[in-house]
Amino acid sequence: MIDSLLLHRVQFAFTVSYHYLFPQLTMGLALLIFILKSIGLCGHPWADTAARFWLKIFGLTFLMGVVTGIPLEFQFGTNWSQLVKSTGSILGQTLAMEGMFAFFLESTFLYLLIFGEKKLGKMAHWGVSFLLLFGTWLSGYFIVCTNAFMQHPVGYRISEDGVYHLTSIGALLSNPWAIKQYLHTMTGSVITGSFTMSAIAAYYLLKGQHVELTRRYLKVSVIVGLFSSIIAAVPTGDWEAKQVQKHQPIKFAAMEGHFHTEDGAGLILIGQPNMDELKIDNPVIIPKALSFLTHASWNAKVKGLTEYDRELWPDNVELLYFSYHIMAGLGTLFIALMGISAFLLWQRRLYTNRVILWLLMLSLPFPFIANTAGWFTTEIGRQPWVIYGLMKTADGASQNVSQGNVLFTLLGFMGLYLFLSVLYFFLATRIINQGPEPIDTDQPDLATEGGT
Amino acid sequence: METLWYILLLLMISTYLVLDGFDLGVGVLHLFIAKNRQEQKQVIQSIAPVWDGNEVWLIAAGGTMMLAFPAFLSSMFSGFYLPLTMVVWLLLFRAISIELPHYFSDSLWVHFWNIMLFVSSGLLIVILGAALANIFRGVPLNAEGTFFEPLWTDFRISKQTGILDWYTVLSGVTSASIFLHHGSLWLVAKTDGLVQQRARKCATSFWLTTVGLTIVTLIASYVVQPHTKENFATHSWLIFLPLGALFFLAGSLFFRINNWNMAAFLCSSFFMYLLLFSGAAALYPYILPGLNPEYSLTIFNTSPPPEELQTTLYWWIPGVILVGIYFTIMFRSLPKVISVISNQEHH
Repeated sequence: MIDSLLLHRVQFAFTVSYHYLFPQLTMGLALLIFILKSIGLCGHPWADTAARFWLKIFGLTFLMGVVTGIPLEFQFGTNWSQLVKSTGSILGQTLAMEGMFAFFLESTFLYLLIFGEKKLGKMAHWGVSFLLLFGTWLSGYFIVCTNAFMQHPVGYRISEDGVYHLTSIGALLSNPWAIKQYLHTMTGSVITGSFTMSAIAAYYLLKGQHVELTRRYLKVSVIVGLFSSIIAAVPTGDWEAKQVQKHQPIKFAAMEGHFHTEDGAGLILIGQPNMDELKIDNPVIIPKALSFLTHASWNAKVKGLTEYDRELWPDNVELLYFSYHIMAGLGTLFIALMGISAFLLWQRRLYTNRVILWLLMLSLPFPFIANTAGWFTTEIGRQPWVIYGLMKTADGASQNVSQGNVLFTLLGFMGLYLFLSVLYFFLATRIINQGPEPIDTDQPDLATEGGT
Repeated sequence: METLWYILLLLMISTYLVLDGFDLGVGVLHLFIAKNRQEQKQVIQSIAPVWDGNEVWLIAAGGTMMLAFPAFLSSMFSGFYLPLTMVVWLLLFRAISIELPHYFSDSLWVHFWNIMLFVSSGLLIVILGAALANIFRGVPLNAEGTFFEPLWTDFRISKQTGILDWYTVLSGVTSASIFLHHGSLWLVAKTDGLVQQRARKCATSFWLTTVGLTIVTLIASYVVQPHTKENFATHSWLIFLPLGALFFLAGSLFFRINNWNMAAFLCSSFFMYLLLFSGAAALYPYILPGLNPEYSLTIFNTSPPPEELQTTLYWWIPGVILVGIYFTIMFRSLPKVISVISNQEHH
């Protein structure tokens, strides 16, 4: 017997995780394309050619992001109707703002960016690439804001009938939680964008194709990749961890695998949580490091999970622990890999070093995994609350939808998304196999071709 | 304040239906109006740059509905769980069937996506009409303000309604006819040559069916929803809304015959706006009537307090003005008329 709450949760988790694979790439690529367009504006035609190629990948990925994003807004109403009934007037603010301020901007300007290069002229086309960057990043902010209200509610009051009312829109939009989470999320997205770009560049270089062009944008992506990997750890990752420790100490203890309160707590690098004995099996620990990282003092007391009522523990401590450690572990690898690549770039040995090119190519999936694991950490860690500390997840689900119906739609989404994945891989591979055009050639322009 | 938001929400929903309406219509018609690959491209080119922006109105309307009438959205979305999830799937299929054929010129691939576009657009135009009719007719709400409807019961309107009954099916067919008429007028205005001639023929046929079906549906709606009689009796001026709708429907024929094609399309847009406003005026202040009127959801018992709604206006109004600007830029940047695209393939 599967209970319908679990099905509601699995369906949302599945659709949101699948969806997020695409926007993390487009938000990162939007920045890289803007950088390329800016280089192009300074009189380097190769950058415009590169931007054109990356826009093709961007366009396909953006489409996937759009089509998998629509179900999420619907699911608030269909699967989480009790949540919407109580908090809709607050969550609806940021969701509606995303539609009004970000989606309209993106949908209008993406077409101009892809098909309007000839028509618009250099400067205007660069401007459009900025607007698209602005639109995609703004969209991200509104979503993180919506999530931040659920993690750390601000600017609200609860009336007698249990309905949440907005008291300050300013507080909702400037939620300190949102700002830190946004910076960390966006750096994650830039990591995905730059790793994707460097992986495909490495692929071309290993095959000896499009060498002239890909060397140049490999340089751009390695530099951006190094900066974003570092910023993801310090300061943004550190800020985010401190904020979780301060406001959601139970989540923090669970994700660190820290079961018992101690002074001078060690930081667990590797090990498996043992939920029967409430300890970490086979641990590798840096002594006193957890105390230092959270309280800036080697001997500070760090509260453990057992300090709190077990009812309030996240229901899947193991998954939370592993998600967090996978994210943090991969983050460390990203810094190392991009650090070595940047060093070789400086030494002028990167383009011919086959080992590092292989590593760059093979690391393509890892930022996606790291970002998904990060999202899992945030969301599983919030359990059992849907609005942290105020409203239980179980009270937010639709009560009038039978489990058979949820199971049916969950299977439907799985099948559909499998189909979408096949299509995406097929078409993305096709774009990559076609490769960028030679530098300085113009692309046929659909918008003008359609004209009289 | 609640009434103002009711009107604003209605404006968002009707703008979605008017804008996505023509590209949904074109999505169905393209299979009959375009006879070869070049004409196919000509037809799709008329909607390819705009369908995405048009659909954003649905997303923005959803957000607006959530912030202004959360209890209504909660009740309606969970009550219509299966049909709405299917709408999501259809929207998804439609988006990819417009965008993916570009990537590849293999005829089997293109043909597959054309059929998918036809099927998904076709089902959507029927379902949208049936969905609005369900809301208009009323649903079996309970004291908690929730309900769950089966797909169909016995096709009559009784104590236990189904999502499909004679009235909702009638409305679905009517809406299909309206969208197809609207879509053919868009093609008449935006294309030339053989495609335009065929679109003209379609427009004539669908104009005739639209007139007949709209009148029947208006009468049926008056019969099905008892509240209409009260509202129209107390505010007799409301009758100008449905009459105005019919007036614009006539206008769309008049202008098309005289070759003022864009004016004909705009008339059809106003017709759709007024038709939806007629329905909303007939329901007011109900937003989701219950079969048991005691449990009906109104704009007052589903919305947050007026001061909250008022603060929202401060960002909402600048937002909608901005959207107006984007759309003006977008629609003005489109070519006035789209001719048959030359044989040269492009990706």
